[in-house]
Amino acid sequence: MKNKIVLTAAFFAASTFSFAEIALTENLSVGGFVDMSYAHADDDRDNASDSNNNYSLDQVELTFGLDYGVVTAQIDIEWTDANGSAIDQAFTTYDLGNGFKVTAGRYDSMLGFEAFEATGLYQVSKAYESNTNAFAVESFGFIPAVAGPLGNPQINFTASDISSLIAPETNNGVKVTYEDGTQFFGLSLQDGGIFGDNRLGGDSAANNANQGLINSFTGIFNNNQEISGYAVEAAYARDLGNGFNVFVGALFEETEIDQNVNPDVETSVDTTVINAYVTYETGAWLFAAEIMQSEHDIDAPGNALAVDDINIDSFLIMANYTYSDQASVTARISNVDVDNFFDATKFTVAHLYAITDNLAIAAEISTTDYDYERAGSPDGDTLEGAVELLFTF
Amino acid sequence: MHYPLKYMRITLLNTYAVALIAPVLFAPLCAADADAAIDRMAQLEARLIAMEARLVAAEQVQPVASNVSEARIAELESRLAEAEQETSKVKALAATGGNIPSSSILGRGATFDIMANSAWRKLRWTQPEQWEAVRPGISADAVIDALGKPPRSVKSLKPRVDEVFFYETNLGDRNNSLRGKVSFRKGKVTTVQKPNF
Repeated sequence: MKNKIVLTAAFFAASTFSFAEIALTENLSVGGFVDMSYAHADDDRDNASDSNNNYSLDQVELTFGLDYGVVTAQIDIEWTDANGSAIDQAFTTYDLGNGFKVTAGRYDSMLGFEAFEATGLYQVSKAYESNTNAFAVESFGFIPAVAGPLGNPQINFTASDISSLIAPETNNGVKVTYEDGTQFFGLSLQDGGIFGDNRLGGDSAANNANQGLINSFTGIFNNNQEISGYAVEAAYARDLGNGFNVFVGALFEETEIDQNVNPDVETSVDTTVINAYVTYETGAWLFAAEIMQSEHDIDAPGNALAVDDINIDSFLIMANYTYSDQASVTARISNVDVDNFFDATKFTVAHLYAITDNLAIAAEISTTDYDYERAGSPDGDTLEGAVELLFTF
Repeated sequence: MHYPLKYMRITLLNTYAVALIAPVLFAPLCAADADAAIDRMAQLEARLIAMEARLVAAEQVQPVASNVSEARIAELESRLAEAEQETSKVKALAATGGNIPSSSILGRGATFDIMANSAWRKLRWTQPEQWEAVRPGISADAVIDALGKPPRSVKSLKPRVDEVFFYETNLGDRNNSLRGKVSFRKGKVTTVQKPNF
């Protein structure tokens, strides 16, 4: 349960072939994990209260690895409670030698301090998300239509929409990486970052998973839109010695929306994400600090419904103390600030106890204080608790 | 029933005759195989001794440790790895007693390579002496060099352990199997649990 901060195992997670595995043959191995949890979430929103308890199998993931010397491949098949079965990652890597590798396929972003999977986290929840609707804005439909980010009355957000505007996740592309004992560099050309359309270039049919999100701030509510885009992602990490590691990365994404109604009107969203974090490990202590700046420039000429540009500044500070061979405690403060629209601060305390090398229990309590900065918008506080059981193989 | 002469009947007498003639015919071939294997072992041992001697000589002429360049260290490590590989081949050959069958369709050289590079790579962790080199502080690559690629590994959920290599002969029978374990933190060995040989 370690974030991707240990240089030899973390920055390189997206570029190397390292995971738990059972060798089935000389070239084929399999690994994976099972994640289940009991969670309580209480959202004390103005004039309302929502409390939920949930016990569920959250995720099962199988990772197949193929190793043919200089050529390796990895296929991650996951099942999640929310989305069912899917290919999470599938990529092949060619080792050019001297630390250089070329990877093609579908893979996780190199950006972000926190790991994508539960097995890589110190906590149960992620810093910029909530199990409640604190980060969602679907209840804001009654707000009068005015200019300004996310203020359109026709917006049909789903939960955690603000969270999904912060950092890139998994996309299709080709990347070149270099690593040696102390540093890592990666450059990726991909079909998208945050609004990926599952194809590199060209127009895709109007079935983009993020179409609703794009609709919400372009003001275009035509389900026959065609969305195309591409993105470039770059990352650099270095082990400074004495326990310090640093990471800097950036994503530049361009998304074009063709309304299919008026071909003369072209709407586009230019997204820039800047990410940096530093970690410091001394004795049983691990400290981490991250900033993430996400900017979405929306260009919709002649479209009065389009919102202004969206700027999101996020950060986290984390401290982890390992007090025995099997247990550690973690405290984290994280903040998400959407310019002129939303501000949320989350406090998290978590405890991890590893029963064996491949079975652990994580417990967490977190609270989020969120404010919508528009007059008449409800604010709220959340109290969330979770106990998670993780099994890896 | 009458059989033509060209289809010789399998009788007790014929079986004795074949049993007596076969060793006479094939003994020289087997002897030649054994001789060749011994020669090859001798050659490998000689190469190993020469390499080790060169390594010792190279290390002796080094200046004080603080002046040793990274490149020189890398070169020495590379040469040591070569020497260890030769050691593995010699041990693999020794384990067979030099009796590598010559009847393989691949021939002697190919058979030897398969045994040295594949079987030895997979199973050398079952030899107690191979675990002597596995100690806290060495790298994962050094562990793989000594023990072979682990049949099973896992990214540990324990806070002070990153990864664990499991060397096991039988997952289903805990009482009658060899089971060893090597734990890593930041790519270096932290604990070693040797099999109960």
